[in-house]
Amino acid sequence: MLTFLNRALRWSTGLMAAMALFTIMLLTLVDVTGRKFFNHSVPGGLEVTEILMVIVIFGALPLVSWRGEHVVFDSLDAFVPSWLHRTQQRVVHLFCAVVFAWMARLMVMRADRFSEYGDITVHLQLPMAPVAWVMAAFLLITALVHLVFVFVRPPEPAFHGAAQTGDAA
Amino acid sequence: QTVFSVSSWVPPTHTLSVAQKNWCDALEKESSGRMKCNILPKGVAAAPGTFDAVRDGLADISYTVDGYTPGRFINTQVAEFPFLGDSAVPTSVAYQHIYTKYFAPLGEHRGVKVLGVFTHGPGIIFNSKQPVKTVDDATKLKFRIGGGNINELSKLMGFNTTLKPAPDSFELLSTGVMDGTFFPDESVASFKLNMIKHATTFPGGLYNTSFVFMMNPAKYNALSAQDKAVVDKLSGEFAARLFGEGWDKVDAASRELQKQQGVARVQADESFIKAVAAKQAELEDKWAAAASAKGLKDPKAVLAEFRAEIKKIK
Amino acid sequence: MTAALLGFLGVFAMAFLRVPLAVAMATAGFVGMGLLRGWQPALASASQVIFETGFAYVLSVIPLFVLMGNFVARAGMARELFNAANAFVGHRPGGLAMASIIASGGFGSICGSSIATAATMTRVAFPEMKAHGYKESLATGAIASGGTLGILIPPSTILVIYGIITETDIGKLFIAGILPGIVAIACLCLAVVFVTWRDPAAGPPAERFTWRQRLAAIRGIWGVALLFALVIGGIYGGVFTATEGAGVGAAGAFFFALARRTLTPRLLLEVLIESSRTTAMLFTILIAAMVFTNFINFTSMPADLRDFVLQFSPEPIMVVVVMMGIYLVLGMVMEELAIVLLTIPVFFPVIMGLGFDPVWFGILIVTIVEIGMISPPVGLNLFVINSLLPQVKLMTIYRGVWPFVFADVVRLGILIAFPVIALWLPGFMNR
Ligand code: NA
Ligand code: NA
Repeated sequence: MLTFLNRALRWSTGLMAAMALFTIMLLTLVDVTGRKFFNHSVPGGLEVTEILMVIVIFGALPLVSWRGEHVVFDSLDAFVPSWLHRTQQRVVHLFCAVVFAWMARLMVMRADRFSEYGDITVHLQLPMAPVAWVMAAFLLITALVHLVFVFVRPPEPAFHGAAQTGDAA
Repeated sequence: QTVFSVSSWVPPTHTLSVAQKNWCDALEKESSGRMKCNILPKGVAAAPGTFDAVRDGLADISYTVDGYTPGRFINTQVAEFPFLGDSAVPTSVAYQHIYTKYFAPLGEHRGVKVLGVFTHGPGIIFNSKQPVKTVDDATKLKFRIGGGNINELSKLMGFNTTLKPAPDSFELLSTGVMDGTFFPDESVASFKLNMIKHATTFPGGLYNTSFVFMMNPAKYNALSAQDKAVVDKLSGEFAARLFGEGWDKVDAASRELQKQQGVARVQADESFIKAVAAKQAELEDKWAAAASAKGLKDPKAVLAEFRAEIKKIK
Repeated sequence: MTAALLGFLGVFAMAFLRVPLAVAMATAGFVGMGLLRGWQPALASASQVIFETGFAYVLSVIPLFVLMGNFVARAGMARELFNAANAFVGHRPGGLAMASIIASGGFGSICGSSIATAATMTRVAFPEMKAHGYKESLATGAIASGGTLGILIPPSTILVIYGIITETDIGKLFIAGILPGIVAIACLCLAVVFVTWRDPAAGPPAERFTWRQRLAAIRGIWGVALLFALVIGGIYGGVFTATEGAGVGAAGAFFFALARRTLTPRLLLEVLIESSRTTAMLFTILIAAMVFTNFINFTSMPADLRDFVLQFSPEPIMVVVVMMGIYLVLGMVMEELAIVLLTIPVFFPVIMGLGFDPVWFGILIVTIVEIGMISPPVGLNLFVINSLLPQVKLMTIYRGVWPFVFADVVRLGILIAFPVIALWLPGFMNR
């Protein structure tokens, strides 16, 4: 089940974050080139960047939680007996699930506020409420990831996976 | 004793922070020390979030720019229109009169207790490259602008503009990424825009900005009747005048500085002014439609009264 | 002050129970704000901070500089830098550690983020040092401290943020970072000398290179030089802003990696997802730090600190020294960007009032941030290395980094005593 969830996250929220980041990069390049050589920048480029940033940050968050990449003090680990370790892990994951779910709730509040006043972006006049909804959805998925780990032991090797990707050349 | 948490999203030396502090001093004095302010070291929210911060009681008192939350406020856009007035006090006070008479009952600022509304001085075209007298001169340059009516107007005028936050101005202009920006006089000094060489003025300004100074309503309601009376006395025209005077003072100081900096000041050609007026007429029609949809009766008449009121105060 | 201290205590209590730092800071900040100001404002504050930090144009420099670093690493440029530095100093005791510091400096010239620099050099330099029998404490200490050069040597995310909040010329700040960066490399290399003098087994010498090999290695770094010229040249030439420079730099690095045929679609996706993950991890901490900062903003701590430093105003330089002392202490326990955002509005006006140069103060602030990133227990660079090297205990990293923290403090002293180091180069910029 864990492998399936891993793939599911990678090819959904992970892929969205990756594409958003790549788009921000290209958008900046096109914007700068356009302004320098063709005297016109991308209309509303700043707003699009902001919206894409939301997808990069919050879209990759479930994967960060999935791989246990949040910054954690592990200096006391040596003093925690092994029988207690799993229990500690469960409690911490439950706590994280609650906090991220609560953050999702806060973003729903924000979305409601935006729709109440009808807030839009300056240039493209896109409604703001859906942006907050997207944040809420990603935060909720993150909370669910932590909730899974309350019941299922997290995949140990994937924890430090960043080291495996090394550089190619 | 009541202590208000006061938030400001510009540095403590900026005229907005100073005017707010002066208001606080007046409050403390008028209430014989029963009410005072605790000015927070750092703003509780960035400018666009300040309205909500006051509404939710994160700060008790602060101010914001209505245009920073596009889509939220329609009526207040009248204070962003060109050709309003050449100094901030008359436009602020006239705006306050119109606001009390027509806008306040419609409740666009619902959720906060409005202490006052005001504007800054006339908006000017600044640039570091060449004198701008005609529409053609202006369309040759790249400008940084903020949002609001001026953004719509620039689009119609065919200016080459990019929306960037005001504090980015120094970097954009000093590196030559942009040629100019639209600002009131004050900003040349406060953003240290020492690369500016040319200014183009319009009678009454090319644009303006609608500000609101506000208090958390729960905090207000909890005051004694005596204290409420003090706050009410310092609200409305008193607050509008206070902030307006602040803007006028720093505008004048900045004009002195611009002289030393060698900024050449010209007025836009008659043809330029006419072109702006023609495009603005379209925007005013659009605004009138949007405002009547929001419940304002006869918006065009309100606008006319606003302009007449400014002249009267002058 | 008591409220603030209780807040810090809460963060540490949770962190020691293994609650992620971000979750601990957000929780403590929210509860603190709720108790101090009421639950409704606390909810509003947290929800605004999350949204504003996630929806912020200027902060797009962070993912873009991280992405640039990852593309550059993928193109093999970090290894070329390391090889070039290694060719010259590798044969000395602790030479590989020095090489990783020098290479970090070079990498810092095309990467604006300390974390990205540290992460990249961990992958390139740590295996080499390990293979040559280096102690893990020295290897990780050198990489962690070298990584911080990423924000001192331009381009730099922290200098952009400092420039924005204090309205200081970002171009001048960037140029001002170059000489202090060289001083920093020298100080950190001296720390390596000190460590290997105390314990020669910590960093045994590697093989010596001939001059022919050295010249060949030097020629290998032209790619880095070209990217540096593109980003810094573009910012100076007024083609783009520092914020946009990150995007152009990332795109430049992307095309480099493409041209060197080191990217397949699969690897591209890998790099993008990895950069996004690093971004998400950083922003989670950033958001949580902001929630916590908003709570501190309502305590008396900022005003108490300002009053404390103002006592020394008859001796202006003492104000600076005391301020730096406060920063060193805060830097141990707080996330650095949070410190900058919280204290600059309080301290900057004091510094300007005493007539000091904003560019010089900016360089001091970056140095402080660098120290904070490697001073235990809360040091972002230490955490990054820890997450990349699961086999190395965090305690080992803590032990190994102290000589480098000390070297950085010495460098800070030098920069305070000789402002000319920071101000000489920007003095030539006529704007
Ligand atoms: Na750098
Ligand atoms: Na630290």
